[in-house]
Amino acid sequence: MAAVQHVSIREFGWLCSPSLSGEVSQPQLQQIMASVNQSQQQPKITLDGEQMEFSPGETVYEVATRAGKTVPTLCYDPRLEAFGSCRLCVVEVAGQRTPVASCTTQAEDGMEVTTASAKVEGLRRTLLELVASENREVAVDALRGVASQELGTLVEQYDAGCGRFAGAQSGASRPDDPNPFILRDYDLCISCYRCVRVCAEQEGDYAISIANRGFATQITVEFGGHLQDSACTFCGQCVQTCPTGALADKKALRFAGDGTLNGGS
Amino acid sequence: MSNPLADMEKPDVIFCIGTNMTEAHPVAATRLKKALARGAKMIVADPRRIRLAEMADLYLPIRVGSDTALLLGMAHVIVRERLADREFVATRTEGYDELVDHLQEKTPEWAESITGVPAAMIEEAAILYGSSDKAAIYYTLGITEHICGVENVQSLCNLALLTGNFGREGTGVNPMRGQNNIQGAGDSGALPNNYAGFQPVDDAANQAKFEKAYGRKVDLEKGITKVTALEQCGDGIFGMLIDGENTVVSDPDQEHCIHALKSLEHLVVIDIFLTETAELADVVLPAASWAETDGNFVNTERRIQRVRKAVEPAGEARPDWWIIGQIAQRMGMRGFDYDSAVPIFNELCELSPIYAGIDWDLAESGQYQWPIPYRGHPGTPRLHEDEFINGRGKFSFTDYRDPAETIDEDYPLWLTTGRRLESYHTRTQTGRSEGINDLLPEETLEVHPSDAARYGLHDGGWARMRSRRGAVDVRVQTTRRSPQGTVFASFSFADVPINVLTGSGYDPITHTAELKVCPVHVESIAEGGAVGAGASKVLVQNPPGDLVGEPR
Amino acid sequence: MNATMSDTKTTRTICGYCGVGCSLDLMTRDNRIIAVHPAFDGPANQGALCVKGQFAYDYVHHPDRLTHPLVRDGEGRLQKASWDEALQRAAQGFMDVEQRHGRHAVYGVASGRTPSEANYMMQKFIRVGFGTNYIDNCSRA
Repeated sequence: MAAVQHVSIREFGWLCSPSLSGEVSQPQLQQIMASVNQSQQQPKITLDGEQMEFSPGETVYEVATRAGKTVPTLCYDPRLEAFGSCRLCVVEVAGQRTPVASCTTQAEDGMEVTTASAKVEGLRRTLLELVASENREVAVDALRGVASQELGTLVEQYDAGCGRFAGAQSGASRPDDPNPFILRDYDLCISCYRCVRVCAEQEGDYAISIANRGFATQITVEFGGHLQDSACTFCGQCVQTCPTGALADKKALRFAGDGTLNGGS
Repeated sequence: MSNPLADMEKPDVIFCIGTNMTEAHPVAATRLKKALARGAKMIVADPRRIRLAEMADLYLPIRVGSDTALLLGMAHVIVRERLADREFVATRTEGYDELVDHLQEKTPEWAESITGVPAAMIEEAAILYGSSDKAAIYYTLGITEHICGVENVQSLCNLALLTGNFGREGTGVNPMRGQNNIQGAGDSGALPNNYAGFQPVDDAANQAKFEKAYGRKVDLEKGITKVTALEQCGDGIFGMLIDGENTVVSDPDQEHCIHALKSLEHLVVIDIFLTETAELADVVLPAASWAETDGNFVNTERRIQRVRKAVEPAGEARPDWWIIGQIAQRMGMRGFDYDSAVPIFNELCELSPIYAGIDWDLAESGQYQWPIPYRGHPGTPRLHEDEFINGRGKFSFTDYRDPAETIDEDYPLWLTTGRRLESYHTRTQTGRSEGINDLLPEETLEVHPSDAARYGLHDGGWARMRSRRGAVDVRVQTTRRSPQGTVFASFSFADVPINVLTGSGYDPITHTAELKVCPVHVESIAEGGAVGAGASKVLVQNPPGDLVGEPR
Repeated sequence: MNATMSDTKTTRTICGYCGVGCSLDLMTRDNRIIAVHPAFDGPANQGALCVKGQFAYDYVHHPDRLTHPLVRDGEGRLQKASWDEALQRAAQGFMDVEQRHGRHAVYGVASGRTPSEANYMMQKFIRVGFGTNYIDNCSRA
């Protein structure tokens, strides 16, 4: 257990050191052991007023999730390295001026975290409004993929319509890609990079890449071509981690009635 | 596998030989890719420059069928460089001194002369494998589908025994099983030498145990293998019950196979499609398919997992267990009156010491990897942790043998066969799934560009390929994935029945066919389509209803 | 849950292709598989599948599926038959072969694709029916 590392070899060495002059009295020894024990204990953070132990290396998001808190995210997939791009998982940390992304913030002993203050909830709603405004639609058929309902569910939960920021939309769909399995409906893409990361980190194929930056970001494959001409093996992992249905299961959509890029449900 | 799938992310050094894992076991391969991303080193030995070879730190391009020589050469270097794990060898193995004597002449230079792999690379591989703390071997049919399949596996075990790479995380000798329940088929006793749970049939105690359970005394002699049975069709074997195997397309020497099945007096086939094999049957019985029946599969890491019925069987199709039970009962057999898969599995567990700790309900969780010797036992993800099944691990004194047939003037190219990512076996399933044929519309013969030039072949053109048993026509794909002198095709497509050509020999112990090596002759032809033309009289029918959209 | 999924049934099972044994959820509607979802808690696959497990499932509903027994008629053609007729024919054939050629004349080939229960039944059929070990599976080729 990593927590043991808190007790350095030096402390024990000192305890056992022959250079220690004279006998250690029983009360003294008890005191020493108590201090050793205390430093051996799990570090803790305060989460919405409650103490939570954590293992060194855990992020605030992981501790909060373990505590049963529902912290919204769109770019998070527990199998992937945390990325911190969607900023929905922001939380307030006492002593920090601005909220921090909990998925990329390591828990530290004594940290005081508020997961759902009015301030962060407001921020989340604004972020969701911005994200929703970029997309042609937010409510998509669940047959698009396992995670396809994530954006729609959050928008509904936060009552985050797209009206306030209606205007420019990002991501260009690829209706020209003739592959039989994966619909590339990038009009619904929110640039969370889960597809890019799952293809690299989980599947190890590195078939999906990113072109351009900022609002012009476009998920693509090498030379901007079709999936069949890329390193894609059609394992479908990108489809199943996509939180908006931008990458979708074409075969399943035969049963949804929105199998085309312009449809909706 | 000696070790669990999860261990595939843990080795320091990975040695893959005779496994095209990214295509045949893609999800297992993702774990190796994670190990590589973490910094593990990988050695790949394969005749073809497959994807795994591209990912390797050290790629050993061996000549087909020369694996034993490579592995003996590596063992020689491990001993010579004093990389053997002395404690492991002393406490857990036997025959080390004899092995050292045996390896005396098996120098890397000797191995180079057979494998074509430079001695320096063999030394590098041996040192890399032998000097790491955790090294794991992964292999597939590229090791076993040879006349020397047993020696190949034994040679791999020698390497792991020498270096103490057994019984620990991220180590082991790990065969990747090719079919969803081929492990379960063996576990269940569908073998000529073992009752359920790998209890030998030639042990009188087992004979007595099963006589008590089954009410019939079964021969103390081992049965014959399927290969021998096919040889004896019409001459000793006259009736056959085949469940879910397209023998005609998947087995070697197709002409021989068809002839064998036709010479039976009574052939009953249980399957989900009217396969090329079912077309030869006297009675064809429609089985419920995957997704239509309940039961258990056992995966490559010996994990027993529940499969569940999600839809009703097509038409009048029924589960295999029901069909077999009905035939048995109509023959007057007792003990076949099951009302579901549950009591069948429970009976298997009761009679099999390796399953003794579970039953149908406990198997529900999918957490058990056998052996599970008693109730409350957690299962055994990693074998050989404290000792080997027979106490000590025995070194084997293997030797290199030539394949059953070697190249010559008439048949100057090596053909090796295998699988492709998008298709499975004889395509009875993948060929009938929408979209798969868009990705892989037809079979091609993979030929190195210089061989193509030498034999007058053109990329996209047609070749007629002959072996001593037959001929097939196939479209040519020039690629450097094939080395010079070796061509590759899969056995998946019924209209390019590669197994018309194969079948030169069998491993004498396991009777596994040498499907990985077949000397062939290729020539350019104007256009293809004449299946089995020339030397072969075989004409293979496509399944009725035609496969989805690939007119040729 | 999206409205379109309310009429969809989910069944946890294991992929039927290679030996890795990936866990997956079959999404079915009106007795038809409409999608495959990888199981993120599958011990062998942790949410991963390959192109076959993910997309090659509709053979289950293919019109080529055998939907009724077939028996060979006097003219050598396979004809549709009832279960009763086909099973009787299958059983009688094995009994005839045994009578003519002895109990070592019947052989069983079990499948690497079927559940263990089918394999167990195959070997029991041969061992109980004929007292032989004339049984194998398709692992040798």
